[in-house]
Amino acid sequence: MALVNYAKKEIQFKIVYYGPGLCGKTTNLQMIHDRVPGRAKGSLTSLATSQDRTLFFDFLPLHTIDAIEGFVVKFQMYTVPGQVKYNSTRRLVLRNCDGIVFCADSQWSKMEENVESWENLRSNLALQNDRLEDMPHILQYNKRDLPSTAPPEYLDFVLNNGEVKIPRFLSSAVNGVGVVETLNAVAKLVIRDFIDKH
Amino acid sequence: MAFVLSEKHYNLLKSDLDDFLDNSEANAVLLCDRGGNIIVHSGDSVEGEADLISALVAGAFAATQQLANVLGEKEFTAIFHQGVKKSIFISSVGEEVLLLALFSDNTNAGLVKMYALTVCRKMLMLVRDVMADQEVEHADPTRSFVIGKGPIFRSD
Repeated sequence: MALVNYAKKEIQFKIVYYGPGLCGKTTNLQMIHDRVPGRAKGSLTSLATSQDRTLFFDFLPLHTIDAIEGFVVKFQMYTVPGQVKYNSTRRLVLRNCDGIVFCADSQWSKMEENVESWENLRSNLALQNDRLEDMPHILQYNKRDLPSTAPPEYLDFVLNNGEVKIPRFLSSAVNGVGVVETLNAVAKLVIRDFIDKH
Repeated sequence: MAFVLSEKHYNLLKSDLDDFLDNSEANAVLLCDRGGNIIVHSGDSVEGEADLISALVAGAFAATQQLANVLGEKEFTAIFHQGVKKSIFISSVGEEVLLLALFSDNTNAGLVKMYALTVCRKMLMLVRDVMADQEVEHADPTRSFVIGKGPIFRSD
């Protein structure tokens, strides 16, 4: 849920990176933290296990004066833990969310996990009386640098097969490819949705 | 739908939080929603890290609620994290908002808790007023938003 503060001329949005375990959600935030200029970002915080798997969430605050005229716009960027066993944590992180990036692993061997996570996202949103169709969201087909990846058309067939096509981006987050483009796309969708509803 | 905070309501909330800081001698106080978004903060020791503190506190509070449920409690309405030099007291303000007070070892924890619970009751009334005014705020025709041109974030 966006928060508009007229006294401080500030608007806050929450964006969540969702997807199966090891698909590159944390890497996305790390690359955003590397690439976005210092004045626009806070510190990146990861609540991770000793094996560097996300335990609770990663968090990166961003802010800009270029998104909505006359306002400082803050984006609170979160990832969810991808491992199946942390579903209650994913539900907590989704709370009051304004936009979602679903990060899919492009490798053939990960298709089942992609679909499971996609369905899990829908069911977790339903538990908080939200629908994916009513929330700004985009797809990111990550790990395009690896050799055994499915073509984007196949990922569309699996994940993006509705009547309305979801914007999708090809990326190699570990190399920084497609990361900032994904960020800008979801940020614009979130802002457009906010303005349309006000 | 967005949560809209008018200047009037912001000033009312901020004024009560400022009074709380004066009375309790806490260093800083934050009012945030349970999703981790800051609504109002007062005090200077959290500048620059307020977003992070708010996100972590919302997460910690949510996790603690799961623990309460396991124990058969509806929720734990307050949490106290005690450090050597800095401590944090967190209390729920209704179902959607949290109040977080940061204080140092120079301050009496009991005093902070007592005033925190008092200001939480005031905050609850004000937050209910804010919620009741949401339709009016959203319908204000004098307010509009203009999207900036070009990409929102540029890479170095």
